[in-house]
Amino acid sequence: MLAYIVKRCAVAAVMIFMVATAVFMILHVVPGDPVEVMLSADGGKPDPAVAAELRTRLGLDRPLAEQYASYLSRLARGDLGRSFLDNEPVLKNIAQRLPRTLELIGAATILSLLVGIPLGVLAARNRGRGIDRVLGTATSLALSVPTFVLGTLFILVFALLLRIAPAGGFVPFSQSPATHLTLLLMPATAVAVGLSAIIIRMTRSTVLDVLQQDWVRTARAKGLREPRVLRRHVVRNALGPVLTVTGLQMGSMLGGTVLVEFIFNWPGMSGFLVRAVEHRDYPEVQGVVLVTATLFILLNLVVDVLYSVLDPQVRAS
Amino acid sequence: MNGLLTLWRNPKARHLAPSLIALFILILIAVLAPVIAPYDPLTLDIGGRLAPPSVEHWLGQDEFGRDVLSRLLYGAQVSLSVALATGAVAALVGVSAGMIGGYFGGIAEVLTVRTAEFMLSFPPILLALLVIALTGPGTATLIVTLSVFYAPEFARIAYGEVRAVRQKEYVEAMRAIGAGPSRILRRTILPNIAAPLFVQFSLVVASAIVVESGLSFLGLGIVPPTPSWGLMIRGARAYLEINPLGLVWPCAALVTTIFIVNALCDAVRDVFDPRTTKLKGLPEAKEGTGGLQGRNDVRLPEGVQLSVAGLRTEFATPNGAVAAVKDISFDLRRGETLAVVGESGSGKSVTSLSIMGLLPKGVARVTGGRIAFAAKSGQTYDLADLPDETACSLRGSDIAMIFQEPMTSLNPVYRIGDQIAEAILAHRDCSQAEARRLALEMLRKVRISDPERRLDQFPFELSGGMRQRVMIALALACKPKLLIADEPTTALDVTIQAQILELIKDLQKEEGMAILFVTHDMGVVAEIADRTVVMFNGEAVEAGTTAEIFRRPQHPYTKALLAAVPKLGAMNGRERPMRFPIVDRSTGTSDIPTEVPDTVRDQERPLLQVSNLTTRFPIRSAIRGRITGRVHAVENVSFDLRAGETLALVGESGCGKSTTGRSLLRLVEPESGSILLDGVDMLKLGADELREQRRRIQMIFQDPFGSLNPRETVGRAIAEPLVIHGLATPAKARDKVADLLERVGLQADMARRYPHEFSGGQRQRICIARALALEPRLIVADESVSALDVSVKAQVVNLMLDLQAQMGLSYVFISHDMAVVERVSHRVAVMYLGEIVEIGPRAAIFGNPQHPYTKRLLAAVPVADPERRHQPRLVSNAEIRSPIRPADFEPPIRQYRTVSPGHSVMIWGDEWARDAT
Repeated sequence: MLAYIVKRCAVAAVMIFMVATAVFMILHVVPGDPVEVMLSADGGKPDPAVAAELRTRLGLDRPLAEQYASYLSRLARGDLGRSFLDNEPVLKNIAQRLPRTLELIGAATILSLLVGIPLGVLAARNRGRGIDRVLGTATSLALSVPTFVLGTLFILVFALLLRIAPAGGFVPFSQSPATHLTLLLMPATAVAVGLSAIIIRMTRSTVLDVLQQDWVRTARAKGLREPRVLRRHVVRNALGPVLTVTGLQMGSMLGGTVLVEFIFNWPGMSGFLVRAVEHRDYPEVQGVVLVTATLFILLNLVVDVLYSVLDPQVRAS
Repeated sequence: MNGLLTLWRNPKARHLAPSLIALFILILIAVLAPVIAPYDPLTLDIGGRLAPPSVEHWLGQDEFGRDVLSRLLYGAQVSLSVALATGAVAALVGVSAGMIGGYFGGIAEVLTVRTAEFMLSFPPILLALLVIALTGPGTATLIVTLSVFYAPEFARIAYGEVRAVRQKEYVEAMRAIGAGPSRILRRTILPNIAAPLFVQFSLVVASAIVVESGLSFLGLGIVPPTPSWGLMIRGARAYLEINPLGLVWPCAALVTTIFIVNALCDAVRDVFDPRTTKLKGLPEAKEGTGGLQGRNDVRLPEGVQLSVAGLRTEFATPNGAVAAVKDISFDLRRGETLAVVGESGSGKSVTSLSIMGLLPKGVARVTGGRIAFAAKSGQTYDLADLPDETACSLRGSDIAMIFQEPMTSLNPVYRIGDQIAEAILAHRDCSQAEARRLALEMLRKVRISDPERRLDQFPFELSGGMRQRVMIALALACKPKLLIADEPTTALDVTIQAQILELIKDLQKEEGMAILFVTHDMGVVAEIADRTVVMFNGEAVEAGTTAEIFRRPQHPYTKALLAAVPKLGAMNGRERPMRFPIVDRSTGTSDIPTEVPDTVRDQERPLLQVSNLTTRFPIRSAIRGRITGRVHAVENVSFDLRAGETLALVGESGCGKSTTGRSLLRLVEPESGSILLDGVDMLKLGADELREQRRRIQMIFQDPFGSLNPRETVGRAIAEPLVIHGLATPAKARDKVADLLERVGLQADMARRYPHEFSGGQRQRICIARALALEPRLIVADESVSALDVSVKAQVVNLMLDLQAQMGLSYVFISHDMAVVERVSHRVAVMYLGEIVEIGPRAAIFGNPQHPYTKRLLAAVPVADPERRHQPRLVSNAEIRSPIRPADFEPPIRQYRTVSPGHSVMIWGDEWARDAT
């Protein structure tokens, strides 16, 4: 078990290192002169003197190996460079916004699990009957509405037409917990709709698989009542795959929240990324991608370890 | 193409029609946008800014006065072309990489799949943003970037599917007939993995539409003024309060498109998912009156535990209701063992599940008859007609059941002790501690080694035999009156089977419960049952005491069944192999089996000379890939085989008999030794020479369902070897296929059919025909008749003997079934832990076994003679050991002793001392 965790951690560390390298390489591999692109964000040909200065500032005039070495050593010190826009350290900007993104993702995930697992079990239990069909259509529909469309429609309906919710924004929790949570509700729900559809489907199909297993027949042969069979011998065994999928989905949500934060003016990390990309603020984009990919890898690590806790065979090896 | 054809033949394929048609219309709209759009999507009309829908502009105008409908239509073009192009490029790159990595493994795997997995650790939209930050937005950038990010997922799926399919025997069979990797990947593997890849393709298309529109929405995707739905939503959002409708149109278009693609994806998945097949004709439930306690018209005679009368059980199938059990009646007395015996499809298992009340809900139901059961409470219940609550309280308490698959019958996530305790707590009001104490007591009772430790172990830590003991402990925990044992020893090795049968007999003596024993094995019946019911086609064709049925079978089917049962010792005093007698199922008359002609050419040089063959598989540690141990699958094995001779390799799981067979064809690479086939060393051949040499040596596998490619007609399967080796023109190949089919007892016109249209026995004949196509001299038959029903088994064995006589074939006959081996072989080699412990003429091995393991193996074979049932048997309680050894293990040097000419035995060490005495 310990060996397994150590191994997973080692793999994660290597992955993070490779991500850092890849992020560095992309700057040099992508065709065209990045400096020119960065400077031409507002249109027009950049001033050669300014370009040269930026090149020096980014260290792009030095040999590749040297750039790479200094990049890694700065990373090791937690230095992600300074933003072009406000000249603040990128790490500081991220540290300020990351918790808000995580809060949004966390809230959406909890919401989705609470809705998704029971409904998934319900659909599996009633396979082929009315409730299963209704849920099937509902999840199809939910999966067909992109989050940003849903978010925009939410604002249209709840904020503009019904006027029962604010159109977006952010108030720190310390200032007013109630307003904070109210403002969290809509973006979190917009994200949760798609995720809970995925969880419902995954739970349904895993539960159906487990119901076919021989040990479920054994449980029934013991004379266990159906609710107990379901709880102990079906849902418990189905949790592993469902949690794995949820973990992976949380990872891709790190990307997906970009749009939601943008729409609801939620000042998280991802909305911040959009601004950075628009202004070709490369150090900031690089920093956000690095941090997000690292989180994504760590999240997968946590899911793997969790899964191993659920599976005695992995736990023992 | 092949995949598409198969899809078309699938009756569920019509579910694809609606979404396919919808997608087609969408694509048509996109293609025809320039023709059907009323305006140019880019023409500005400042006067008409945000104009509402009108006769000229059906959907109104946008913030620049452009026609919304036209922009929507052109937007379809942009969305679909970006998404489809992305999907196509990603699929091409990803699938190629994944298939290559999955098939070849090693460095190819690292380069393709590991890279893909690494790339999957980036959220795609983020990387797209990173690239766009550097290059600026644009359609081409979008397609290239997205393809790069979607390719890894294709690679991962293709890789996983190839790994799964590569294990299938039909892929192995293609290698055995000499097909190269490119042909196998394209022709054999790709059609079989097309379904999940197609599903992934539609997922990617849907996802690419979302990402494209999302990026465009952010102003980072499609560059304005090109019309894109994402851009339109972005534009409408700014004027939400003035013109809310402007938002609705592009949102609706986007959602509809994604919905159609998703629907197609779901439909494809459903078509390939056997679980979604619609079942028809489930009969109405029997009137639930709540058992017999309400009506006192049934009273069981004294001493009768269970009385089944006129039982009928029906199943819903895609073609309507089918009765799996038509009319079964029998009585089972207290303390008695009744065997229900029959071949596959006879309804024997359904009978037991009907009694247990474990028929799959919504699929099967008892529709007639009654199952009267005397409960502990003294009440009599009709089990066919019981409320769920009562059924639950009887199950596990009064009636218990053990199953065929001990490996999967225990829940992998709970400890053994907890699973037994759960059964106790379900029926008895006692503390956890008390339940645990009782569980331990039960483990002792089933004579499992080290019972205290087992309590806290998980199922995967136990061998199959031990798990079956745990299942028995669990079943008997509440001291049931009736134990139903459904093929409880079928999945076990023969020595373990003997242990479990002895255990069940002993426990019956101690506990006095009645046993209903369901099996296909007449040998087991003779070992265990007082009385027997023979089932055929859902009906009981004969019932009586076991002794009577064996001595004087009445029904023709029983006669046929018994004639086909191989009996150990039946070959005493005979030199050569012998055909099985074939009994006519309608009349019961039998032909007189003859000894086969002498086929062995013992004057010539042996056809096959194997010396010091060693095949080992390294086991690597999870962390650093260090070799921590090795499976010593084949260890220093030597034998000769003459033309026209059959050598049987026998032994139990892990003994290395199958690996030996696969090593002969180099389907696995041996570590050392030599394999001389006609004097040519197989192990020294290059790839091309090996392919040529494989013409002389062919293989037939165990699983007749797995060894034929399901997506290929049997005619093509049989012709395949001829085509690969360039041996015949298509017309000639067709003639040859017809000839081969007739030779194996099938009809020539069956060539056009697909494998699923044939029964197990017929498929095995087809496999034999395919193996014969290249006119080999040697056939390795790996458990080739083990999965077949006993009567079919006899026919296939007879076919193999006939072919040997006609063509002078040699066989390496790999089997765990000693009785069949005795019938077919000239010589026998007994294997244990990778080594041959004894080899010699068949008569010598069976008549004068020397090695303790040979003796143990022979003693464990169930004897199909009820007379000998009550004789005490010498059953060793030993577990089968594992051939996995530490990395530094040095195999001991073995000495052999010659017993008689051609019969030699390994000189054994202390580990066998207890057995030898």
